[in-house]
Amino acid sequence: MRAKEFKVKWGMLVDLDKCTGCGACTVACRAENNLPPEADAANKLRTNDWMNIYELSNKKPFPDHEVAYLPRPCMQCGRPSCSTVCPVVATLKDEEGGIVSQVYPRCIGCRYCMAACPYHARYFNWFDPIWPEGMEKVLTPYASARPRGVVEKCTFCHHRFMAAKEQARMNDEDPTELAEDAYIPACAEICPTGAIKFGNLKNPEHEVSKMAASKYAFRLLEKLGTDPQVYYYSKREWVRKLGDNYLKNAKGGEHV
Amino acid sequence: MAKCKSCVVLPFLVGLVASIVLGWWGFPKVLYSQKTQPIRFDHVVHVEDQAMACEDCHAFRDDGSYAGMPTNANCVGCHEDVQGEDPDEARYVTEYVQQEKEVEWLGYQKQPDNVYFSHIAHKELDCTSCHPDVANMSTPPVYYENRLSGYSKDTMKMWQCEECHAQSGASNACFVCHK
Amino acid sequence: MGLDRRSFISLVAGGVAGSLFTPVIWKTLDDVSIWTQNWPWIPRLQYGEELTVPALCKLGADAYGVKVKTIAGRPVAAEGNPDHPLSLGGICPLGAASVHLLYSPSRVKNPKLKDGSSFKDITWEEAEELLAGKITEAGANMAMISGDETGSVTDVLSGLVGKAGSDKSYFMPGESAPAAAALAMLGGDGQVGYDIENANYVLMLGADALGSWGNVARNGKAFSASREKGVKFVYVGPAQNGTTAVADSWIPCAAGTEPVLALGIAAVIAGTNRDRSFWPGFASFAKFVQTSYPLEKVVEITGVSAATITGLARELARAGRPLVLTAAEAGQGLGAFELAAGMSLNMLLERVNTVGGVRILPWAPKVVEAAADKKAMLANDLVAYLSTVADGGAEAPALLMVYGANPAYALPNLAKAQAAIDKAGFVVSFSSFMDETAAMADLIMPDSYAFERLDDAYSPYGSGQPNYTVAAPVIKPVFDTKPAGDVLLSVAAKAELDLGFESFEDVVKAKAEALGADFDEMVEGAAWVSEEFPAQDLALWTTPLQELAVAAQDGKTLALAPVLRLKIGSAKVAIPPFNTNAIRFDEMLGNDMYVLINAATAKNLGLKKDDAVKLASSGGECKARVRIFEGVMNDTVVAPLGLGHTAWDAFSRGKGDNVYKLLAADTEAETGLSRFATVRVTVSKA
Repeated sequence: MRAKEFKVKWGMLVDLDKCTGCGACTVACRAENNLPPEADAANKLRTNDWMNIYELSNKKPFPDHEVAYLPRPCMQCGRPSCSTVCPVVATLKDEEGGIVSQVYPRCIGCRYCMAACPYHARYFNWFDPIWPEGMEKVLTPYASARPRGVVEKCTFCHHRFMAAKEQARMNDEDPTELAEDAYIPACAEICPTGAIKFGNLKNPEHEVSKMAASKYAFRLLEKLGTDPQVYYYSKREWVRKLGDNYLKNAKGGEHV
Repeated sequence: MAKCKSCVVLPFLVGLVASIVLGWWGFPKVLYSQKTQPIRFDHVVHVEDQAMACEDCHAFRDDGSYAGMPTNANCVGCHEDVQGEDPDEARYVTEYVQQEKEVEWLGYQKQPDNVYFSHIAHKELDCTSCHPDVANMSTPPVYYENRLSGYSKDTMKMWQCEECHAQSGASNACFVCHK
Repeated sequence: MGLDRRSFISLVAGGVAGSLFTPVIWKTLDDVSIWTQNWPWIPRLQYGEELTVPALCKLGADAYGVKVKTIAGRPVAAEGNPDHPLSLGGICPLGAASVHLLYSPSRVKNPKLKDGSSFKDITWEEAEELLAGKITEAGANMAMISGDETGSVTDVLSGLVGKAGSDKSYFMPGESAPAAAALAMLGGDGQVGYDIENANYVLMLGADALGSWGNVARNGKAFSASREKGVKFVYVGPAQNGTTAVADSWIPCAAGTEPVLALGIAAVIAGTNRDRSFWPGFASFAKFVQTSYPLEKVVEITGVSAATITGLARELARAGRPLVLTAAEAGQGLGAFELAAGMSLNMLLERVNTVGGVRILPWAPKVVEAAADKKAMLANDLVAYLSTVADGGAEAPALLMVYGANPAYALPNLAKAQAAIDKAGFVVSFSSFMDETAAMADLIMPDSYAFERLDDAYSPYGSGQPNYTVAAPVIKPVFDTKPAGDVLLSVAAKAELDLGFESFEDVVKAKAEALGADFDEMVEGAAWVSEEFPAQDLALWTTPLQELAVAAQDGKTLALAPVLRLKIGSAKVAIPPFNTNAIRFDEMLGNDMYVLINAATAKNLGLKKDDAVKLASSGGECKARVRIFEGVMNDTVVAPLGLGHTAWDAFSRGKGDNVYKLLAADTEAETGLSRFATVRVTVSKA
């Protein structure tokens, strides 16, 4: 599949040498995008985790063991496996900037895209969202409340992109030339160590594109040819090597 | 009785015409319920008598978003107390301003939650391209609500946005309008 | 003409044919499909003007300014406040969940009075009258527990208690108490803080600075900025965590013995060729550490190798601006001597009261005359008091008031704490949530939630400079709750105890004035910050030095390393509704929590992955599952604090077990402070 080319390529770079796995990004994402609260989130095959954090290990015994944490949003692949298999075209990579869209009213819930995504970044609404009484008052207007039966995934806080364009128009600026700090997803904004960076991968001035060019940058499962727009960065070689490691397909929930 | 052709054709035509009439006239009558705005907002009084400009109530905020339906904050500058003799204005002051309750205006062009519309991206267009010209109406138009879908009769459908986008060269990518 | 069958069919056929030329079929199908996507139980979004307002988050031990996004006045999300010195744009996982707690199912919606085994709703009038009566009745036989070390509500409550004639004002355990006592031992007076931003080598002895210690968001930002400058961060502790994932190295050290390592390093440094003989107290200090903490002994106690100890001593001595942070991994449990051990290392390195080093902040000004001094309150040990009450060694208070704290859940010697609360004559909780303490209380007078009240915070523990934050309410109370500060002043007045203030706002304004801060500016979001530090006359230990007590390794027990992960809550707050998903699959198995041991330890105990086990100490028992994790020292088990709730709501209840039950505390004789960072447990198959 030929990758679609856009003038702007929104990309994320996560510095794994700064990620402490605290979980603030996971929580902020849920709050921003109206993910339903889940009283029982133990069964990871039923939860909705747009931003999911994995614990990485160098697999050595004590005292040589090392640990790292990896936050995983949707990769917004340059060659998405998901949008090519959707039977109803509910997901498509057709917008300037390269964010892969997910249109809930068109999704029929066949979950073919979930099977196709090698990053397990797509989630199915097995249940209708149940908001504890009163909590629906803290819903943001940014993302619609999804009913059961549709698939959803991280959108790089696309609503913030739209808001940045509105602000640019209000300031009589060109909405296609946004400043580096005009559009930043919730996870990148609140990270206490600033591990998540966001910007235009095609703009050589932006930090993400500078760091993505580094020899310490890598992407997950690159050899599959998905061309993800999320880069990771680590000076530790064992962490970089794990990028092309398939997740263990084992019983007991390790395969998530 | 002998079969006469006209006895098949005539009922057919009657059925045809009847169902066309029912479909175009009767069906909408059944499908749409009529509602009125909670307060009979008189645009003429405000635009002509008070010489207010549209932007006094319908304006862009600093962040570029559009304040389409004004809130009480816009109105209490004048309507803290009853200004005229109109019973609806009195009702507004007592039931809404004094109770600190916002009026739940019915949006004729209300879009579903999964649709994103940016007014500022469309500011080159005339408001009446999409909205009824209420500026010279003393009574807001009747709000027709679709009993099945819950939306307004005048809610634009996707093809209307797509058509104009295609014609004007704006992007028709999914995420431009969906959220 | 009659309508025969054929005509009728023809009529119908005409009708059907005609309907194809009308919108009926297509429109009906379209509308029905929309109808199926709009079930009434799917919430509709509300739109409106978006504003961002400053607020204050105190859900954990920290207290920092955040920003709350509001839509048409309703709070919808919380984010960091780039202008606040303790946030700098960052927010921790508890802060990120703070808006949803506003509508948590465990919110107490109105005052409640115990009725048999449940509660009945009462009015504020009745509640205040009742409490005022109980205050008058109790006289000096009352006590209060506060979990809020930074706010003025604590001043009002302790003022009420003080005016009634009682000195029983207690804080929940934390880092501040041993730090203050430690500083006193070194001749200092004030609140201990750390200028991490300007250090160039940070040694974290147990202090999980990026996870749960001190000012977490600020520490993260400081770490990030320092990293770019090549500053080295070293973490010393029994297990790997988020901080070790990003630090330069992890030095495995037996749980709770990091202060021993500090003294070992001090011994090495003290032995170096430098004339420090004119330093007050140095000679006896040097003699003490070199005789009591020679390398072999430190190696044996801590498990850290001799080479590492001397290596650390060398690196610290060579670094221009080293800084040693000493703490318990779980945020509480070290005694004063232990904190002092770490502090004396900073003194030895001449890093106290200097840029990039330890900073001594002035205590907050006292504006409520009758309130206890913070220093005196920190010296009062709550755990010891409750244990004594439970054992019958002290009279149970006739009235016990609990504010911003959950002692029936988050205390060591938990069984005794619960027994003592039970013995108290009348227990009042001001909690906003139905936590374990509120569930046990006789009267709940629910405080308005953080974003519904005026709130203030002075220099949370760890702050590198004095700072004061005031936040105005973001929204009017959504339930029938009242801010505790105003309630207490009203009740005090009813009980004829004059605290000198009409409203809580007056108290905050007075404090601001005393500090020289501008109340109006602060309410707009600008925190007050000062560069003034009181002069100190420090000496290397003014109190007789003594060895730190360490629990013996007996071959049957493991060292317990309790850990605090903010994403699942804190001592004050259970798992917020949105945080259940932040619990990874390797942290809980269904409703059981994992405890971490390495393969070697597991082999010794005959345990395998996912085995159901029971941890037991002299304090109590816990149930868990085994997870083999190589980032844990031998003979050590890591257990998470913050699970095992029995009150709250479906998001927290019944998940895991309460590790506080295992924390058996002993008392440090000289200070009376409780110590519980070196607990040992047996781990056996359940």
